[in-house]
Amino acid sequence: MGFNALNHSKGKKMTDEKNNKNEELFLADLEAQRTGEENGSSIQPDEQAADDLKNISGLFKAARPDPDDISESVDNAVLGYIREKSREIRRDRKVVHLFPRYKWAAAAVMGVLVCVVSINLLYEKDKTAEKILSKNITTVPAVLSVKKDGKEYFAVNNNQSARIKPAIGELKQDKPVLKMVSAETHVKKSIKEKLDSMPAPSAKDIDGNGRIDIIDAYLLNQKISNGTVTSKELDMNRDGLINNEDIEDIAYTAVSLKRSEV
Amino acid sequence: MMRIFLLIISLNFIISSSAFAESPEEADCKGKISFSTAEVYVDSNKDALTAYQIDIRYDKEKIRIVGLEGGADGFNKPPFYDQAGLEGGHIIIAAFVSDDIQAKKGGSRVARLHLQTTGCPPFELKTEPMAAAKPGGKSIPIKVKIDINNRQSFDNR
Repeated sequence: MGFNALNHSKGKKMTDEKNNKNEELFLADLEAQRTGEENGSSIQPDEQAADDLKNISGLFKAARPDPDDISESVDNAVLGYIREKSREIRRDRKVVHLFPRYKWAAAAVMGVLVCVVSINLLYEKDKTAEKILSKNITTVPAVLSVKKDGKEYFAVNNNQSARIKPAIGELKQDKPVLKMVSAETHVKKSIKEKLDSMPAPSAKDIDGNGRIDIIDAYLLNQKISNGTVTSKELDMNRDGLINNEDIEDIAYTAVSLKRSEV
Repeated sequence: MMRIFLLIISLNFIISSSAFAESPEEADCKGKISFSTAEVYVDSNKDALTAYQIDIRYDKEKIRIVGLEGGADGFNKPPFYDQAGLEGGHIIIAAFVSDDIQAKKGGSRVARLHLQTTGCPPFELKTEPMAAAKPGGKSIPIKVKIDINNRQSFDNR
């Protein structure tokens, strides 16, 4: 009994192994069919497909034009386009090289503007009021005007004939920086009124150059020393004597400061 | 963009603050009163100088003119000046020789200014010739130079 049971179990085991082997072979066949292979066979190329590919390749070759067949106008058009594009790229690169971003370019412009404004402000600050005003001075010393043939003439700066400039020095027509202009044609009415209201030349202006300076004091000193004083007008302090006090009077006038300037 | 503006403003601030920062020397002389003399020279070149008139401008916060005296030769008397110019930042000085024989060609020391200075150098006197004459009274061009020297300091703090 025990021996029979052992044989029976052994026979069942062998049958199971056989079934498994059959199942593996079946799966291998299926895989071979799916991939187009068979057990023990190699890949067979499809000749029809290869011919088709050759034909297509031939068509492509035929479609590609020969460089010699392209017309010159087409060549020029293409080259022109390429050149224009490359120029644009170069330009962009230059800008990018200077300023990596447009924001930086804007910041640089702002910085430059700030600097320019600051410099201008500083420059204006350094300018004295006198220099700024000198642009618009409209008065002329009385000695620089003359009447001739019923017309009044003024000495003006040669460079700005349209505007009366302060002309310093003797009134001489041959003076290179000055020229004579008619009051009627060149001097505005308001300026003429100002000139009319100006006082007569001072007696202290001995050399008659339109200014009272130390040279006038020196000249009076010379006259007194030489004994050539004749005019009573040189008695500046009206004490009846022409002496050192009159010289000092001129000298102190020359060095006096306008209170507003101090 | 806002960051860039902030950057510019902060840079300006740094630069200006560094410019106004006091150096040790400046801290040392700040508020100190000193006395100096300034020699005024006039160069009349090839003409003999008989008269001069000079405009002098200075910083009235830093400089006061406490005295004027004459120079050499014919200009040994103190020059003419306006009292208001001693402390006002602007003075005109002028003088002439009493005799043409005293007139000299070339450079002459024509005056000496006594200055009281406050604070740190440099102390500057800006000059401009106004008039000058040779014998006979004819106007001539001149060059003016001022040398400041002999500082004596007193602490005013």
